[in-house]
This record gives sequence, C-alpha cells and structure tokens, in this order.
Amino acid sequence: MSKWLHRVRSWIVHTVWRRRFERELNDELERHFEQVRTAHVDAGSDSTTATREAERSLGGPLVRVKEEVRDHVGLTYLDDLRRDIVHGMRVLARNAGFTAVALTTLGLAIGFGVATFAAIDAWLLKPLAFPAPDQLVVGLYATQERPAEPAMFVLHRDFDGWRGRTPSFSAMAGMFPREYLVDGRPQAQTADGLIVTGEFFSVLGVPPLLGRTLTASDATGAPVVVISDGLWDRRFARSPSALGSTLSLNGVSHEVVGIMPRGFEVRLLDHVRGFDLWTPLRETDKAGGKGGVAILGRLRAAVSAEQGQRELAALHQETEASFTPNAARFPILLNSLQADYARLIRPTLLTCAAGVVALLLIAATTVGTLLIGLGMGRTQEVAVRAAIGGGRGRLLRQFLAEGLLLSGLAGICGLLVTQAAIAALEAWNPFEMAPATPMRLDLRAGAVALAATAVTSVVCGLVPALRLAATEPIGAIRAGGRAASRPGARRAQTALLVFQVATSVVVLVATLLLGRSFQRLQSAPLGFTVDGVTTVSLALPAQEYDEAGRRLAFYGALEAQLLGMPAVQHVSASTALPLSAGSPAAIHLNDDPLAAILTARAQEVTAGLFETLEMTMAAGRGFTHEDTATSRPVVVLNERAAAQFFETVHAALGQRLRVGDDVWREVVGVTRNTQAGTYNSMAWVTDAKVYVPLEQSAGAVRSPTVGYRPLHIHLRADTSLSHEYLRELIASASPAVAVTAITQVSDELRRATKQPAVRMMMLGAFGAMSLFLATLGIYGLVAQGVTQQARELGIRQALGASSQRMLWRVTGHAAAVGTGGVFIGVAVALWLAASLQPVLYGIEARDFASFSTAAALLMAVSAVAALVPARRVFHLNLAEILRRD
Amino acid sequence: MSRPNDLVQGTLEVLVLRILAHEPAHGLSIAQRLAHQSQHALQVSQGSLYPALHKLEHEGLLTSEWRQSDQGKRAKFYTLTRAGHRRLAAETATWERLSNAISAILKPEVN
Repeated sequence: MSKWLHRVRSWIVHTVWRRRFERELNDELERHFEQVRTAHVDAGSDSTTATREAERSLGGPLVRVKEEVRDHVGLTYLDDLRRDIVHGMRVLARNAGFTAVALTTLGLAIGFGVATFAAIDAWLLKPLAFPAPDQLVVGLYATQERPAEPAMFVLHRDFDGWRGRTPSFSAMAGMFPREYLVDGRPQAQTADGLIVTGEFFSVLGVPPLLGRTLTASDATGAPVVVISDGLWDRRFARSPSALGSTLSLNGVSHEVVGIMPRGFEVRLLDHVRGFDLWTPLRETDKAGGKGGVAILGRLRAAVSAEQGQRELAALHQETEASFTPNAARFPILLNSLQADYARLIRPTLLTCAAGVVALLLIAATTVGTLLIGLGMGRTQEVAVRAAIGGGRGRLLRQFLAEGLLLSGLAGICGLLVTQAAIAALEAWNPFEMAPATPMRLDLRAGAVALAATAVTSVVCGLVPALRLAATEPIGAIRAGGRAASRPGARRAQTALLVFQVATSVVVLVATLLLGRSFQRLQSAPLGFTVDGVTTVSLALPAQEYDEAGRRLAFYGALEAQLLGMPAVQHVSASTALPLSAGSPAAIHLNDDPLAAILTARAQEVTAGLFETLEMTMAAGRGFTHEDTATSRPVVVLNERAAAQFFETVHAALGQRLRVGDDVWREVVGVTRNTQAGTYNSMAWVTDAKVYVPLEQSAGAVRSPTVGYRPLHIHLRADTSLSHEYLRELIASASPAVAVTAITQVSDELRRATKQPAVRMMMLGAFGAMSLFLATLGIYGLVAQGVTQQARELGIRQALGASSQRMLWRVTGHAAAVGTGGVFIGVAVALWLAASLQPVLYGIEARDFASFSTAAALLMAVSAVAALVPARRVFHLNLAEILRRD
Repeated sequence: MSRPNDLVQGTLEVLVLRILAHEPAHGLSIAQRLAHQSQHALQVSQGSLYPALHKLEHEGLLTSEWRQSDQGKRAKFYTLTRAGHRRLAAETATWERLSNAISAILKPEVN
C-alpha cells in the first residue's frame, strides 16, 4: 500500500517537475560517464577505449540508459497517456459537430442522473438531523384494504395500554397535530401545533435552543408551550424575552418555556413543513378517549421496524380483544421516520430514477454507436498506424483515452447540468415540500457523477476500441477507409441500436401509461363543479363561536355582504373543503350499544351548498331555509352512505340515524356520489358521506385535530375575486377570526393531481430524449451505410438496379433493427409494467392502447429516420464517386 | 529496451540495498563496490544499476540528494529509508532460508 502511495507521489512529482527530473538524470549519468572515462584516460587508455569502458560501466549508451530509467519509473506510460490525450483532443476538435452532439447528450444524461440521485439522496438516503435517526419510527393504524398506508391514529386507550410493555423500544411518545388559532394584531392567525406526550423530546434527543423542552409533569399544571425557531422569529423577532411570555392558543393562555433550534423539524402525515409549536398532551386533549395519537418511537439498537411492528401488533390483538372482537380491522403500521417523510413521493422518485438510468444507457450507447461510425472513417488511419508498428495494445489505449476524454468532459458538463437542475427543481418544487436534508451537489453526488462517467466511458470507449483494434491492416488500407463494414463492428452497432430502440419503447410505454392515467384522473367526473368556485377558509375561535347561533350570525352577515358583490352568484358554507371527504364520524342506526360501529364522513353545510357546487340529488331534497334550529332535525346522505346503511337510495328516505352523539335525524335526501382526493395516493375515493345543516348542528361534526371552529365559505363568481378585498371583509367582520386560506377549487384540483402530473412530465421528457437519441442512431446507421457502399451502389444503379432494391439495400438493416428493438422493448415493457400498477389510475398495466401507440410511434420514427438519409441513393453520381477514389 | 530477468534484477536490488545499508553512496561508488564485493562476477548486470536505483527510489525504499563527494565533486547520493531497511532484512532472511535449504541438499554428508 505504502509502495503505491510512494509511486503515485513520485509520478505526480515527476510529471509536475518533469524538466528537473530529466536534468538531474542527465547530470547524474553524465558525471558517472565522465568520471569513468577520465579515470581510463588517466590510466593511459585511448579515447575510444575509455568511452567504451565508460559506457560499459554505465550499462549502455547514455540515451538508452535514460530510456530504461524512465521505463522503470513508469514515466513511459505517463508520456504515452499524455500523447494519447493530446491526440484525442485533436480528433475531437477535428470532429467538432460530433463532439458537440456527444457532449450535449452525455452531459445532459449524466447531469439529470446526478440531479435525480441528489433528490433521492436528500429524501431517502441521507440520515435525518437527529441522533441515531435510523432508530426513529412512526406508528399509525392502517386499514385492511391498504395495509401499507397510514389511515388512523392509534386510540389513546391502546397507546396507554401498550406503554411500558414494549421491550423493542427504548422510548415511546404519542403525538397528534392540532391547528391553533393564535391571537394577533391586526388579525388572528393559525399555527400548526403538535400535541405531544412528555417523552417526545427525549425520544428525538434534541436539546432546546433556549429554555427547556416538555416533560411528563407538564401534562398537569399551568399550560405551557415550546415554540419553533420560525415562530420565534415571526412572532417575537428573536427576542430572548419570548421565554416566559404568553401565547393565546385557541383562547387559552400558554407560557412559552422553550425555543427549539432552527432545523428541528418533525413532520407528520400531511404536515409536510413541520410544526410551529408543541404543547403537552393533557387529559382534556383525549376527547373522551375517542381521539388518538401517532406513535413516535425509538427502537433499541439492532431492532428492525418489522420487529417493532410485530411486537405492537401482538399487544394490539391483546388489548383490542377486550374491547371489540374485530381487532384486525386496523392493523398497526410502523415505518421509519425517514420512510414516512418520503412516503408521498417515493414512487415519483423511483420512477424518475428508472427513467434516468435508461436515459444514461441510451445516451452512452448512442455516443458509442456514433464513435464506431467515426472510427470507421478512421479505419485507414488505424490500419496505417498498426502497419507501421503501433502495437494493438497501444491503439487500444488510444481509443480508451479518447472515450475517457469524451466522458470526462461530459462529466464536467454534467456537473453544471446537475447544478442547474437542482436549482430548477427547487424553484419548481414539484413535490410542494422540501426534503428534510437539502438537495446538494456534494461528495456523494460527485461520486455518483464519477460512476456515471465511468460507465459512459466504458460503453462509448471500450466498444469501438475493441472493434477497431481488431482491424486487419492490409484490407483496410486497400479499401481506402470506406471498407465494407466488418462483421464484428456491424454486430456491435446492431446490438447497441436494438438495445436503444427497445429501451425507448419501454420508456415510451411507461410515459403513455402514466399519461393515460393522468388523463383518466383529470377527466373522472367529480360529482361537483370546480369552475369559478373560490373557497375562503376561516378559523373561528372555539369559545366565542361554540354556539351554532353565533356561527350562523357571523356567517349570515358575511353572506349578505358577499351576495352584494355583483360578480358573486352563489354563496354557501361548510365545515369541509370540496375535495376533502369531511371529518370521520360514527353513525348509529338504533340504540343498541353493541351494534357494529358504522362510520361515515360528516360535514355541516348551509342550505345553498349543493347549488353552489352544482351537486345533483339522487332522491329526496337538499337543505332549505326551512331547516332551522327549531325545525325537525334532518340529514342528507350520499348514494354510497345510503347503500351502506339502508341497502338502496330510496329505502334510505325517511329513515332515522344519529351522527356521533348527536340527536336523531331524518334522512330527507340522497346526493349523487362525489369524489375526494386521498392525501397520499393516486386515486379518487368515494366515501360514505353525511351532510348536516349548520343551523341544526349540536356538535355533531368536530375534528379532533383542529382546536378552533373551521368554516369554509364557497363563492361561485363570474370573475376572479380580489383576495385583498375578501380579507378586509373578514377583518372588518371580526379581528379574532383568522383567514387560513383563499383558494380556487380548480387550483386545489390541480394540486391534488400534481404528483401524477410531475411523474408523467419527467418520464415524458426522458421518453422524448430517448426517442430523439434512437432516431439519431438509426439515421447515423443508414447514412453511414450509404457513404460506405456509395461505390457499390453507384455501380448497381448504373447497371440498372431498380430504386426499390437500392432503397431496401440501405434501409433493410435499419428496418430489422427497428422491428427487433420494438419487439424486444414491448416484451420487456410487458414484463415491467406490473411494477407501475401503484401509480396508474383507471387503466390496466398492460393497457393495449399505450403499448400499441408506443410501438407504432417507434416504427414510424425509425422509418423516417432511415428513409431521410436513404434518399441519397437516388442522387448518387457514379463518375464523381469513382473520381474520388 | 533489454531488461534483465527477475532473478538477476531482484538480486541486484538486494545487493544495492545491502551496500547502502552501511552508508549513503552515489551511483559510481555503488557500481565500484558491486564489482569489488562480487569479485567482478556481477559486472554484467551493472547495466541495470541506474534503472534499479530509480525504481527503488520510486518505491520509497531509497531517497536521494545532491552532495559533495570525497573527490569534492557534486554527486547524487542515495540513502536507505526505513522501508528500505525493512525490505533488506526481509530479503536477507528469505535468502538465508533458501541458501540453507540448498546447502542442505547439496552437502548432505556434512551432517
């Protein structure tokens, strides 16, 4: 090892101070020579004898000894390498067009590849900023239908029952999010809060920046809060006096006891930007046992998440058995914290990674193919070099040096592309959330760039080198450099092109599958209109607006003002956004406490909601202004709920049910089903839904994760409304009410389908590039064939060969390549398509339209790419060709 | 570019290390001592002396510097490094084992 270190150091020294090395070597040897010669002359020898003796002593003539020394130290190889690189530069400079195409192709491919890696690294690989982050896990309930997706919080009673009985965990905390309404001037604001048990901060192992974190003793006593660096900045302008001051959260005064450092971020479910503040979980937060928590655990060293999950599942079986017989309905799901963060975008990242690897291979093979073409033009040069004694190995080295040079330059271009791609990705932010560790062009990404460069250089340097080094000198010289291609080179080129066409087919099929899924997703009927609907989301202080009458009064005043705006046609309000399903609620059909629990998504709505969103009734009626606090309590279901609870839509009318602990209500209408987005998968879901009039609300609908009264006001208008004006309107109505968002529902729809769109666009870009590269390759193949066979073709033409035969002669090979590639590509795509299933919607993985379109497109493009250069056979001028020889 | 075979080359390197183990020396004096110590039997392989010296230096077994020689002329002196000493010891041990074994085979009657 140290021997090699010495060698490398010595090479570097000798290369950098090469002149000094030569001078000293010369001095040393000449002194030896002179001394011996002088000694012999002094002893009486004649000059010739003395010189001969001196040379004998030195071991040979001075020049040869020097050469031998250089050889022994390995400088000969270094000299050769330098010559190869200089020669390679000349070759690349001479073929500027080729070099530009090759560098662009490889540079883009390497750049996209490294940028994709940087994204994957930041999301999936780089450890989170906690001590021993791989031991951190998040636990939630899933459903039996989708056991890999978190669906529900773990009930408090379960969590409390498991604590202290989990040897796989060194510590375990519970947490659930709650949005807080924070007092402020001039207008109240909302903040993302996380309610945590006392172990939360010790599980994570991060000390506070100022003050203290929360402990178990905070569950009782005066309310306290720990705030984030961001909230400290926004609210207290980083003043240390923030410690000890109070924040009014949902109307309750909390003392600030700690401030967490910048970068302290725990995400949970759809809270992808972390939280603003943390409050201790108190008995009153348990919502009478109906609420639940996400488990944040720290596993003991060498315990896997699967082991932890098995342990909790066993406890779950045991505790559930004492409550209900159907414990298995909600299997516990334990994920590493990092995997949980990336759950939403993992499919996108992996799709991109597959696309970019295919692109890199295609780019390298294209350049390799073009290099073979370039090399064929140089067959004569190579042959002459071989004939005058340039050894095979020497030639091989030279081609490798050229491939290396090309890929090295492409690697540098690639790093620039990476830098730009990362900046663009951050600006575009297709995932609408940043990774917990930022994307960076660091050493790890650099190593990947180096590896990608090595792969490309092997592919595009070694293949032509091996082919050309096997050139037979005499034949090539005689053939004047446009030798009928040798079978070896021909085979290599054919194999590369078939591979390229096949890969293009695979990428295109994937793009089309995603594209058609996206189109299905977008054109799926939602059951309501999104056009021209603006939603103003409000947070009402819970104490002040707990009474339905006060909320109604607040809304009534606003409604009148909003309807006064000329552009506004419909105004209504609800407690859920149009694209969200609503709060989960238990449904009771009778008074039997042992009856199976039915659930549905519930929301409170005003009379005009169905009209505003253009929802249609399947049976019965919607709400009217006759449905008041004093009239008979009523409820409207959707078709799914009606079918689930009462078998048919019409059977549901006139039936009675209770929503949660609410009063008995009569079913007066059934709406058509509407779709809702799921926060983490590519699909619309149709839940069972119940609608309760806001006027008759008695606390039936309440979300445990929101500490205030949410109210979404929906406006349908001809023109877009000024957000500024809407905010002013709310502020003048009440400074204690916060505007949490003003959104166009159509924007919400776009956001819900953004992931599939991003995946489709990225794969589409890869697909387009690979198609372009395959076209380039086939074009090059045919063009090269025409050039090489020009003389033969010219003679055939002169002898009266038909145009068709001539055309077939030059395009036959390309046709075979295209057809073969398409067949292989379709076969591989059929084999791979099943793995795309999770990101498809509304179509089969083996969708006939996608496969046939991709195949037809590739065939058509191959035909054009082959026919354009092939047309040259019609303009061959035999006299000119022969003159050139 | 004639290269001596490995045996001769290896032997020459060990001899050079052996000579330099006593004190630093320049090329000519190493050549003279080589000739003297081996009773001129090894003069043939002197041709590879300088390549060998540079290779040993390249591998970190020797270092070199320009100094005044005894005759008052500037010459490049080679010195054994610690790695060189280690190599010499290892080679010597190997050689002794080998020569003992050969002796035992060639002169069995001694025992």
